[in-house]
Amino acid sequence: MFSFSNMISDIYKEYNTFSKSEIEDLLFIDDIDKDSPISQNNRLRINKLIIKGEKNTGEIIEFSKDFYSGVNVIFAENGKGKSSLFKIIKFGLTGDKESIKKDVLKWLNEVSLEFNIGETTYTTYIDLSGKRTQGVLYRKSINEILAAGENIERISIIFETKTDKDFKEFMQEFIYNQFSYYSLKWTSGNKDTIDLIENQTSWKTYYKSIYLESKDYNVLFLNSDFGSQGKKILEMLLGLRLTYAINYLTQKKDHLANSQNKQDYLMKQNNDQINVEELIEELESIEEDISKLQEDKKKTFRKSLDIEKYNSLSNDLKTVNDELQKAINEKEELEKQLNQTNRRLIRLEEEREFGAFFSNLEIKMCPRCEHTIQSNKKEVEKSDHKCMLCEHELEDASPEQKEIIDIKINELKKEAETLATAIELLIGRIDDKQQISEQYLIEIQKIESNIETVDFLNDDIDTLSNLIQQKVEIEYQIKMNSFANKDDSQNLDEKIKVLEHAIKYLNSHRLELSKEILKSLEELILSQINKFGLTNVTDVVISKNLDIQFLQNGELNKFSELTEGEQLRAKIAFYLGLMLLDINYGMGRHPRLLIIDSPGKEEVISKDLISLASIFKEIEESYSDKLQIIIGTALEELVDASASQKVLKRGNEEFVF
Amino acid sequence: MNRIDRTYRDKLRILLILYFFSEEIDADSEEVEDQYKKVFRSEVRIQKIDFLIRYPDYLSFELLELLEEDESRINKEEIKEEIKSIFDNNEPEIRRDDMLRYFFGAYEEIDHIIAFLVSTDFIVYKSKKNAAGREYDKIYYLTQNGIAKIENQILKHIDKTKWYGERCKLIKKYFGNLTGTELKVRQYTHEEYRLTPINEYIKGVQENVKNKYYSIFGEEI
Repeated sequence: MFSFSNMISDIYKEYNTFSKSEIEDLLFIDDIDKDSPISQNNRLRINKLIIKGEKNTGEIIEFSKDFYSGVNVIFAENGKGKSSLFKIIKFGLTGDKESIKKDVLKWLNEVSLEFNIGETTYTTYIDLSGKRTQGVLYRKSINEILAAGENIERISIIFETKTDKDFKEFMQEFIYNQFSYYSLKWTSGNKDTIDLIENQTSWKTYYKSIYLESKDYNVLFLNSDFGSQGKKILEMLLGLRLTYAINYLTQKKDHLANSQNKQDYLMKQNNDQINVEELIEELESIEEDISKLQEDKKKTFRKSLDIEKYNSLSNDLKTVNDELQKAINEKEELEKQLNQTNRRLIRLEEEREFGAFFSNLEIKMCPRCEHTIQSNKKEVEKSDHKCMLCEHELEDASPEQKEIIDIKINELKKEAETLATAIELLIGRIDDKQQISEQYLIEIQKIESNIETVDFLNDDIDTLSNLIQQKVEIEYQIKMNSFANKDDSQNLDEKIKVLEHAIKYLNSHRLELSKEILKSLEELILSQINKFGLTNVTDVVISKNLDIQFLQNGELNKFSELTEGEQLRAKIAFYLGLMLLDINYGMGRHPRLLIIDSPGKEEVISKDLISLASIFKEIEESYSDKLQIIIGTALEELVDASASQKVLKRGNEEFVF
Repeated sequence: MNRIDRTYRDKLRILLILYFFSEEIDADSEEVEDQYKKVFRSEVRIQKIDFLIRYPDYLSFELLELLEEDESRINKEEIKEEIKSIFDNNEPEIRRDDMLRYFFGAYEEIDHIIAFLVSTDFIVYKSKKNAAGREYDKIYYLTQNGIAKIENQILKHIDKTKWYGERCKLIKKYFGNLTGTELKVRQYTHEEYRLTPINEYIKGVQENVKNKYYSIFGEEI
């Protein structure tokens, strides 16, 4: 298993400019174990599609089609609505209707799509007749909904939406929950602004791995691949561990890098405006003005009074007040001590006096049995030094004890006297100091009242305070400038380096943790490719960056480097491989539904099409209860790709719906 | 505090409490023998009176509270003078004899003192025992011999008992009619007392007394 704390320790060793907890904060990931490659064992299966509407010709559309587990084929001539049908299915599953051709969209009034996720049956019902798209998701089959009519129980409605946007969002949330998908993020820049734009993958993005459109056969995932969305689809479908963490830290790094760019930019701007040397010059001249003014002021001051005397008096006052406070504190401390001593003294004196009385008392009664003590017992105590009651040995301690108490009392008395004398002395000292302090105060007040009568030039005072304010402002500017130049940007730089390091670290660990699953996927894709007749591909390699590469004649080729005919088969092989990974090993999160639109139009030769058809047939035979493939084609060869009852064949010039 | 300075002081204090706060026994009563002259009831009462002797500040506070409760019954001027004298003599500092807080308030074991007072024939001690062997209804009788010793020797010839005698009289005057439990309830109204953890010394309330004194008499102690 991956250990976050090990990662922190490893990285901390390399970047000791940060404390360990700083590194921890920087690399904190809220949900490091979010990803799991273990299959949810959920598959998506389309059961039935009903389309109602009216074409612009006035022809009523009442299309209803059942789909089956396994391989389904829809055969019709090009331009007769196969793609539209698939796009309507996409609409039903994702809420995205943008790809449906505008004219076809106008025909549609109602779309009902019944599908299964695992054992549960759902139906999306979309009403397009009004101004706004209304969408409902039921936990019911179409037949059950039709049977219930208006009386359908509210509990079987998962959501109801009134806008396109809501419908799309709710469908995404629903599917995300079912398949443990989530959105992966990336940032992008823009010429118009210095800020970053945040983007994220959506259910629509992941749907690219279900719906293979004919325009996309030259790419594995997407035509225009912003922010490596293709790679993100694969990461999500495989559920590779640490994917969330990598994505999270990459985001963070991008934002920090952006802050740094911003800062650099601002600094450049500032530097253009502020010339530090000029500032320093200005500051020096202001300081000169200030000291000149202050000198003038002092001179005026000295003319009218003795500033030196004032200063020394203030100092003296402070000193004497300090001494006064010290003496008061000392007195309080001594008083406490005296209290303690007196307390002890009282106790000992009482003890001595009471003891003298009590210890000479005659023992008359046994406290246990309340009998009078007999005189012979008393005799025994005297002669044998044994207690007359319990016969324990008696220690002859009383004279010594008394002496000890006497000595202690004398000591305490002396101590009390000393303390009292010391307190007296302190009281005297405090009085003296207080008098001195008062005298100083009177003299100072005299000088202060003189000051008030001295004429100052108000203008000078204003100028001085203005100058001081200017000085402070310039000093601040200089300080900020030097601050911005050094610390912050360096720190950001270091942080970015740490993040980059961590991302690399996580990537290599992810690869290590995913070794087995990637290896299995490679093998599955290879065997499918070979079945498809691409025998010159001798190995499939998934690179560190999750690029799928194909070994041909000793050369590793990327998908884009394959020929068109090869690409189609490699792509289908790849997706079959993904589905088989789940079926055979219980790994990955592909929904095991594949909609293949018009595979191999012109560029694939007939022989290859026949082998394609036979492979689909083979899949139908082996896995018909484990996956679903819907193929739309205009090619005769593919009509035989499945069992005949799963083939919808339209005749010449006939529309699908 | 080592043992040396608290062997006989405690004995004397408890003895004086028993003496000053006990009642004459009705001569016609048949419940006790002739030589028992006075009777004192309940150990709790000993403990609570002892507390007031040992904490002059608490005593002052109680007196002030008494004044607040019912001014008509009490001589305001006398209370003022008593408290002033307690504080002038610095009693809360030098006379305070710390007591531990126990389950039922201030408490200190006095069994050995009682045993001593019994053996020297000052008192006779009676109690009942319940089924669990626990003593209850503790009664202390002062013997004729004991009373004679207290009156003729202790109070007359031992100077340092004077303070205790005066203090007992003062407490008796204002709180003498209260039982141990009533005294305890009064003492529990003090937050400092009630909130003292078990087995820790109860702290003084000098500041509270000073504040209350000021608010009642309008002058500082």
